[in-house]
Amino acid sequence: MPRPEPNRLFAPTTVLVLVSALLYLIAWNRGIALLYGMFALVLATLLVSWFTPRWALSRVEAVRRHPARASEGEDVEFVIGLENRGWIGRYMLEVWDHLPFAAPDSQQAMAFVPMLGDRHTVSMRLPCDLRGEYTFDSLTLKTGFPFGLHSATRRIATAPGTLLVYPAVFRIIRLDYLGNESLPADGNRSVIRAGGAGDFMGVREYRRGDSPRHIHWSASAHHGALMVRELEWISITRVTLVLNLNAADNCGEGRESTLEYAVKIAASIARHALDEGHSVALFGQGRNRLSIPGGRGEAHFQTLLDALARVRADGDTPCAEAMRLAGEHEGGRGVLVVFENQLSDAQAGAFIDAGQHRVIRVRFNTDSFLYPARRPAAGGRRIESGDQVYHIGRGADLERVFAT
Amino acid sequence: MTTRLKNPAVYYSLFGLQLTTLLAILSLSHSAGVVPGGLLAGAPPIALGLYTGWANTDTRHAAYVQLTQAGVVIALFLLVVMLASGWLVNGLLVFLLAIQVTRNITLTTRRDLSFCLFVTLVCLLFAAAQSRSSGFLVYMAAYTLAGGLTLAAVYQDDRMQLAIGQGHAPGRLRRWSVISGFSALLAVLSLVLYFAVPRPPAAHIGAFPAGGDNYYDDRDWLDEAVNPAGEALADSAVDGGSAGKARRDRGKSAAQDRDAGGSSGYGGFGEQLDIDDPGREGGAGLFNGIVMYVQAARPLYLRGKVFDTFDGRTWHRRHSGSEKLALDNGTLRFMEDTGHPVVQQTVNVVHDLPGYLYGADRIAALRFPGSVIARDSDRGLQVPGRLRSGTTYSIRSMIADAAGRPAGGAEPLPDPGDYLQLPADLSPRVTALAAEVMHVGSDMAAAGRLEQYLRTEYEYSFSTIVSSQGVIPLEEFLFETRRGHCEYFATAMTVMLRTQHVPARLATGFSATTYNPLTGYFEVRALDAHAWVEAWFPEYGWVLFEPTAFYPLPQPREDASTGSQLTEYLDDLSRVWDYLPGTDGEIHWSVLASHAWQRMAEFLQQLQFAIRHAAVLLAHWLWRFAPAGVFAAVLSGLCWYYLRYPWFRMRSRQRVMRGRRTLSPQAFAMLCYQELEALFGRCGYPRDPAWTVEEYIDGLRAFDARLAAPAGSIGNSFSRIRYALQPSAFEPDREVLCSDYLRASRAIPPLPALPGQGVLGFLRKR
Repeated sequence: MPRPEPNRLFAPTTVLVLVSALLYLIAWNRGIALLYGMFALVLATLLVSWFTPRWALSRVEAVRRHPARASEGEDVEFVIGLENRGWIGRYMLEVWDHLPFAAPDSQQAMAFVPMLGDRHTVSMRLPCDLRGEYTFDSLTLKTGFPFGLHSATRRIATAPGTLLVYPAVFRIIRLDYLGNESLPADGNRSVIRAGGAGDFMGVREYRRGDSPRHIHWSASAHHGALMVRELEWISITRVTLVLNLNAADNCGEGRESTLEYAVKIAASIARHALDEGHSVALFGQGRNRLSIPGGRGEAHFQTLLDALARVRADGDTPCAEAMRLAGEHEGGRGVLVVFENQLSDAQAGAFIDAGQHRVIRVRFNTDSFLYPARRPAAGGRRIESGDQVYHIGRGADLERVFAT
Repeated sequence: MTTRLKNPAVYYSLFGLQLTTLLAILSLSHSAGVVPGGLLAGAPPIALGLYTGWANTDTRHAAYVQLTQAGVVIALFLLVVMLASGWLVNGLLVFLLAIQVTRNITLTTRRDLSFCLFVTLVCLLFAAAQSRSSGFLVYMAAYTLAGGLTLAAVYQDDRMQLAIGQGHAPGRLRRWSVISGFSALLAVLSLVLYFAVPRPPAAHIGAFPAGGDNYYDDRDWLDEAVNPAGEALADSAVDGGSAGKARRDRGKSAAQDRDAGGSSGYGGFGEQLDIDDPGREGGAGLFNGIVMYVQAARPLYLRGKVFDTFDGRTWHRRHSGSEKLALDNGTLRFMEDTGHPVVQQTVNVVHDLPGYLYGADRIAALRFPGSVIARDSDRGLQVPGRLRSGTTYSIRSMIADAAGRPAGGAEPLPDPGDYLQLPADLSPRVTALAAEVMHVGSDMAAAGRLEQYLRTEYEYSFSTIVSSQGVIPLEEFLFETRRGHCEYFATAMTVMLRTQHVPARLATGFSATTYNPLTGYFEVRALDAHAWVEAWFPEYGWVLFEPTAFYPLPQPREDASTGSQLTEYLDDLSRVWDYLPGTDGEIHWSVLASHAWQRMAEFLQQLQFAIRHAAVLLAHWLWRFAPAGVFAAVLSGLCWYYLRYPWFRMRSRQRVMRGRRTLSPQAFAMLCYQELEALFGRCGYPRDPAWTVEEYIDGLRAFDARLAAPAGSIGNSFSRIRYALQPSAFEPDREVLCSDYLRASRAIPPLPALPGQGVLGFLRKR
């Protein structure tokens, strides 16, 4: 991890100036020529340290290349191309770039170029710390060549660039409520698959508990034993992710905030639901209304990710109101995934009465986000008032919580 | 946060830096064997320390800590040795360097490196202030190169540790050649600035130095100074009784010792001066090394002795006595400010010389490392014995201006007859010549005409005129050969002035006119021993005349650039070669080879001497301080034996008392137990690592029944807090714990047990 620049009480050049003044005074008082030599030595060091870095930065140009998209936690490589238009090589160049997608103590990244001939490229690789949309403009060149006592800096304008960082997605094995209420029974097992109607899959031997309606008589006659049809039951669920974009409800900072957790969970649920063939919609009421109608497929997932990457908790609509609006907007039946911060039962009850949706509630333990030093509460899934409620605290292992 | 240095190039550069600093300090010594000896002794520890600093990963390891402490002890020992030998400043320097060599072992961070740079810079600064040699610039250039490489290596190391991306690094050779190039540029720029920087006249605030390796003391002189018998300046022929005779005998032997010309071989500082053979040898065996360095604002003639009586061939003094003057803390003031310009001279003697204090007339104040000096009737100053190498003294002279000539200022001449004496057999031709040159009149202008006549009409030659029997040297010089050395010129002018009734005298001393702009010192060589003329005029006093061709009158320099000063210095150096004896202006390579061989022989001899001297010094020091050392060791041993336990107990109690005020009850309980365990462990009753707390407390109980209650209480509290399965709410009473601890600590025995006894006994009781 890069370390910050140390804070020095006195800059080296300040120390050298004081030392040279002191040496001159001593030399003048004693009249000793060699002490003037020491003064000349220190003064020469100052002059070389002052002017050489400025020369070293002259006639150097830079361009930046980077990917347009990345995911949280993924390494992003920034490649910077340097060109020296001078006749003499340049040495000990520092290329500084501000990378806001990185962790706070790593955002000022530096690449060191010991020698620059005509052209050279350097790369900086950093993990994306937080989803969002980031723009980049200028680079900073810096050098303290040759002695590092004094540095010169020069900003180089580059073409503006943007990096969209998607939220990280974790694996969800199973999520209740995704599928038809009337689940077909095949023996003792429920088959839940989404994406079509009941399709004939094949025949098998009769087992106790199978419905007589499914007996395949011709196959039974052929095999001399009772055979039943095996059907693939298909059900489509419309999943609506309702984000709480109320700024007052967003607890925590940076990655460890309820909104970030909500976005991750929303993206993961969307991934899982779309993989299962369900329809996923996104809704949120921030400063502007965020509404992505339901859709399926990879392209729709990309649309959802684009929106989730940019979403901000900048609204002032209370969570319950947002849920109500979501319910009205979506209408009909489906599954609502809501994100709440320890709402009172009264508010929850008011919401449930608003529609006929099945609700998956993700409830954040706000204390754990507000007071990071406290031991975070263990997350888990519970059934409360007939709803699936996932309790999420700061630092919870989301994949494990959603696997319960 | 300080980061660790990783680049090995940093350590290579630091080695060069420290080695250069060591060489610069060693170069201050005038002994030839010191530099190689010091290099052989100093380079390995520096290299080893730096290698350890680079290689070790845990500077807090016990071995490194102990090694560092041992190094500090050695450094302190060296400091004490050198202080006891009277080398204060050198001792401090050696101490500083030794500390840095020790710190090399743990030199791992930029902070350590900054300290190293500071130490080496201070050492180099001190060496620059002490050095008189132009060769010191080589060390400064080397230091510049090494320093530049070090700074560049550190900078690169720091940046590469901070970077998350890195470009292609050039090859090692190319990289260091670039850095070396910039360091060389730095050195060249430094040289340019060195020549260009303005150098105003020195202020000398608080700078009137004196010192060195010698202290000049003579009890007889001091007695005479304190109780003057009134015979000091009397004629040596007067019989002052046995006491006076004894004193005069001692004075004569001291004078003989003083006047032993040393390596300069110049008879001008003896009892009498033979103008035909002043004592300088011809041929390749002549020594012409630097005998002193003079720091002054202008060229000067440093007078040593004055002669007033000439018998046609030799000069001597009419009055041989001298007045003894005691110095007040090394300082003596002769006269108050007369309004004439004051010129301060600081003289560093680097070769043994006759025992005169050489300084420009007229001396107003003196600072000298001694208790007493002597002064003759012509204000010449002498020291007890010879003036030894390594002596530094300072003089403030008031130099009046007499029409562009240095003068001592108006003063009466009570007895001009002393300075108008002429040889009985002086030829009338001399008088006639004087009258012809000086025309009519005896004023300064006439004297000036005589001076110019001699300078222009006669030729300077270093060779001694071989005179056959019966030839009068002065007349042969004036009318026959018309060439000779400075004694001829000075004698001729002195005699000719006297024939025209101008009081005059012959002065001998050293010509300090060769200015080295690189060091800022006037370099006085053995062959700069010189004779000149002082003539007295009522309005100016004693005025300096220089009749010798080739020698310029010492006048203040006009403001000249350092470059032109350097040219002038090199011209002076070439003239030194041109006028080596036996050359007559041509350089004989055999002379050079002979000189080189002599220098080599001297070096080997000095190396041998240095080794022998160091051994003798060490033995002498050990013998001298042996009783004190033994006493100190015994005393230390007794203190350690008797006071060790009480000391441990006192320190432990202090920590407990402090913890009682500052710690929480639980933390205090932990502290009480830890202090109890540590205290008993130091006093010979340690806890075995395999024992539990309860077993250890049981052992203490068995050892001393008084420990049962207090140790048990402390142990229980500690166990409850330390080994609880959950954070305990137990909060012991601090006062009770403190009281228990104090009771327990009283069980410590007053004296240590015999080696092993305490532990064994404790274990047995367990």
